[in-house]
Amino acid sequence: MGHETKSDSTIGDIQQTLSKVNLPYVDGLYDMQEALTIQKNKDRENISTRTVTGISLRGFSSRGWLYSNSNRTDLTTIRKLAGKLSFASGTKTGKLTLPEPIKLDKQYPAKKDPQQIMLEDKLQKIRDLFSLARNMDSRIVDVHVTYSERVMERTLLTSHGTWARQRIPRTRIALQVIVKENGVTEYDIATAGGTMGYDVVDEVTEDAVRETVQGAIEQLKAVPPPRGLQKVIMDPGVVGVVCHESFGHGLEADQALRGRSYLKDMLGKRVASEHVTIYEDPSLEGGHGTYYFDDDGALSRKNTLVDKGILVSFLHDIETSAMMNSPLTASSRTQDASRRRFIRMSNTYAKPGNWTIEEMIKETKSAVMMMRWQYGIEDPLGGGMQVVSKKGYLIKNGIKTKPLKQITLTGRVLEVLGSVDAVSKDGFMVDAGNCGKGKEDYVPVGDGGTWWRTTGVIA
Amino acid sequence: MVEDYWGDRMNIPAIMDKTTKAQWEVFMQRSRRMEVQLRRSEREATIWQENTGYGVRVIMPRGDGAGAGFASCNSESEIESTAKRAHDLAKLNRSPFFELPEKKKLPSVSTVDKMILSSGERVARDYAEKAQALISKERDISLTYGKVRTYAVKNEIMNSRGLAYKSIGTYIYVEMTLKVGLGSNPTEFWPSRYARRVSDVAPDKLVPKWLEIARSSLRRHTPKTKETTVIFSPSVVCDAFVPTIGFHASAEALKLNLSQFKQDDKIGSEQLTVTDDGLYPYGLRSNPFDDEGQAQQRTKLIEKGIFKKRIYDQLHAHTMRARPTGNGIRTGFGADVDERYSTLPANANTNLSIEPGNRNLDSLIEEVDEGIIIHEAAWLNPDQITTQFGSEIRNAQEIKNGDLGEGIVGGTVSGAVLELLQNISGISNQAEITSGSSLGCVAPYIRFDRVQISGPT
Repeated sequence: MGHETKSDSTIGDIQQTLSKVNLPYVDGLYDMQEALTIQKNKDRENISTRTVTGISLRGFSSRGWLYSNSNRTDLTTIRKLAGKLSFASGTKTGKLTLPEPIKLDKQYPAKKDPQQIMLEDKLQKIRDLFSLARNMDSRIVDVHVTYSERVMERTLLTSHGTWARQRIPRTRIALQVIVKENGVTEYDIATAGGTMGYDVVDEVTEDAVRETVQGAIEQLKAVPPPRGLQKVIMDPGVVGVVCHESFGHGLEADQALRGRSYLKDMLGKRVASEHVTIYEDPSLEGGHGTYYFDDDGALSRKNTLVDKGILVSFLHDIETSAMMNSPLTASSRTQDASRRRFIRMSNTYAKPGNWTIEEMIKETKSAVMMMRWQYGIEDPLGGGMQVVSKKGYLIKNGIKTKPLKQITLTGRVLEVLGSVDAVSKDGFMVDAGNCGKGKEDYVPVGDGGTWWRTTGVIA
Repeated sequence: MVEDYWGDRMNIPAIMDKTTKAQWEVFMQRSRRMEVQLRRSEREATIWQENTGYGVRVIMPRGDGAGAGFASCNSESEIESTAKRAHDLAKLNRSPFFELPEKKKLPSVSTVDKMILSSGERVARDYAEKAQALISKERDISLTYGKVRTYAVKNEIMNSRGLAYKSIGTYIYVEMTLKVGLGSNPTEFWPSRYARRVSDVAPDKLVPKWLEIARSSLRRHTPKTKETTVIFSPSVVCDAFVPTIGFHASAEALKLNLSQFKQDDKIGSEQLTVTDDGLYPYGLRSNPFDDEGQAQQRTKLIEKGIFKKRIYDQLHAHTMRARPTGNGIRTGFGADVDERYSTLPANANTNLSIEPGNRNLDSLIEEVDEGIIIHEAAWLNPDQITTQFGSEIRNAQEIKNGDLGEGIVGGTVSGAVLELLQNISGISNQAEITSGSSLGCVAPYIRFDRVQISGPT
């Protein structure tokens, strides 16, 4: 297969060992991730590298999924791991939807391969960004710049005949500007990232740095948002978090099988207003959650989750696809070889609409505008929501007025989606983030869309 | 037993001394995890995992500062190349100089549950089965998903000053999702806990307690928007205090001009006394030494509402001319237990231990005419710098005229943690080792006055 790598002999050992495990379905995943992080603040610079390797062997039996994992990669360890699966040999298994076997060896093309850029150049770029921001205003007490790159090389072998390897580079950069005045400390932050190369640093332009400095200074005089049920205008990043955290987790079919999804019986029914169409797309070019195939060996594809407000698909792995008689969506993912695979999202985003953001603001009497998402968390059974943004503005009579401090949106997801009455055509973006299944098992994801106007509970 | 797995090791000091003339440190972890995941009455997955990792740091004096490089790997055979990488990185950057600790007598602290150490697989399986059996007796509550995981972890550190320490620790992690109500509008109680030993989260104690909270949500409503008296459960206290008090009490926050604590200033109610206790028996961040090899200790941070002392790692102790307090802690995104080797030490708390009050929880509730007790928030996650937070209320109960009433699900609790410290009106008389999104807290229930609650009306 394709180019040779230093992992080829380990992969050969896995393939040979797995062939002797007596279970109807087994697979082996070999994972290698090389990461570099550079951090700078006024006090110091940190540079660290991290290499994570590991093997995960998996079998499906009447006792459920069996995993044996190690980050040792020698043949003795591989045989020991296979022995851990063998105790269930010969037992009956449930049904699985196995994808067509694939033979694949792909490397995601980066405009600027991060591993071809000198470390000294990367460090100098971080220093330049730090100095640029630091000198923009006397109220700045510190600037934190973080650049990270991670190249994942993952190989999947299955008893069904798949041999697939993908090499995916992901990069991110964050610039946090901290200001202080009259005893009040505040900040704003600019981020960029995706399945891309070192070109990510080009996205933090001088204008973006200046906007972040101004955003931080503006926060010094920001006020808390008015509370309670009201109109809300969300920026594209916040829209992405709503689509992903609040809504999308309820579509993970493993949660439905557990009896843990408020959307379990909603397929084909209205879950949002007609203005809302939501996609889940691991094949999206440049998305932080992009990959060629999932960790079950299903090829990536663009999935429509909601079409003009109607729920059209759940997300599946090889087990739930069989149990729910639905097509595979290439949604099986693991953080690394030390963990199990779950159904996960990749790049989740909303389709643009017909408004401009200027029209949306102009035609709004009163609303809270949420900007710069910070985090969200799922409530797959209850259908509740929590989405937090760092800042925003109060909209009064069609004009953006006071800056607002941290804003939390809560309420019922379906009520918020059902109340969407305007979607912008401009501002489309898919932001980079990391998502946990609950509080663990983090995978890189992209979330986004364009501006939305809806109604929700603000805290 | 885990001993046989740990086996022999290469001569790491010899490799390091050959690779660099600068100061070096190697932090190693080896662990075994065993996990059972449940889907309703069945087993969804069984995961067996062994983990080995090495984190190498090199500190190279240069001019009036130093260069510091860090690299990690999973294989002993890669230590030499990893050390070389760390050495090369240290040539590039600019950091303050500091010295790694020397060897000295260490305190002793309890961190091991012998049952987990010797039979982690059986402990996890038995716990899962017991929990399933207890929950299956409920009429209106069912288990939808659960995780029980045990860890046996060996930590080892050595440095160029001749320091070489080892320690062993065990952990158990329990997470359950309980579906509350059989009708078309169920809700969920989704708690999780880490502990060092099974007895701290024993299924016959913890599961009935969780079921009782879940039952309180059978009849529920959303809250009204108002400022009211709110009692935080120990895990909610943990989520509120660890990222905020832990940060503002650190030397690093002071160095960066971000700390809102000044020595001898009143920063909270007189009822509040907080110790950073690295030696709390079976505390989640208890260990004889911190992740730089400094002895862990007890440091009183806040006494009767007055801020007293800061916590220091090696770097900040050196640059701020203070004594290190054993607060060089490795922690990262999902890497708090056996993957710490891959992270750099940071100036952080060990176990934040909040001194219990003198009244029991019932008394704290009885004194409230109108308020809320919050058992679980969705994700409090306060901002480290501003300490602001806003979280959906997942499982709470109203308090009316001193009695617990209907469940409250939905709406939001919000505010700024450092402002809440001024509004403490009661602390319960029993603290427990707890965890939320953060490890490292020993907390009682705490009652706060004038907390913002927001609902749809």
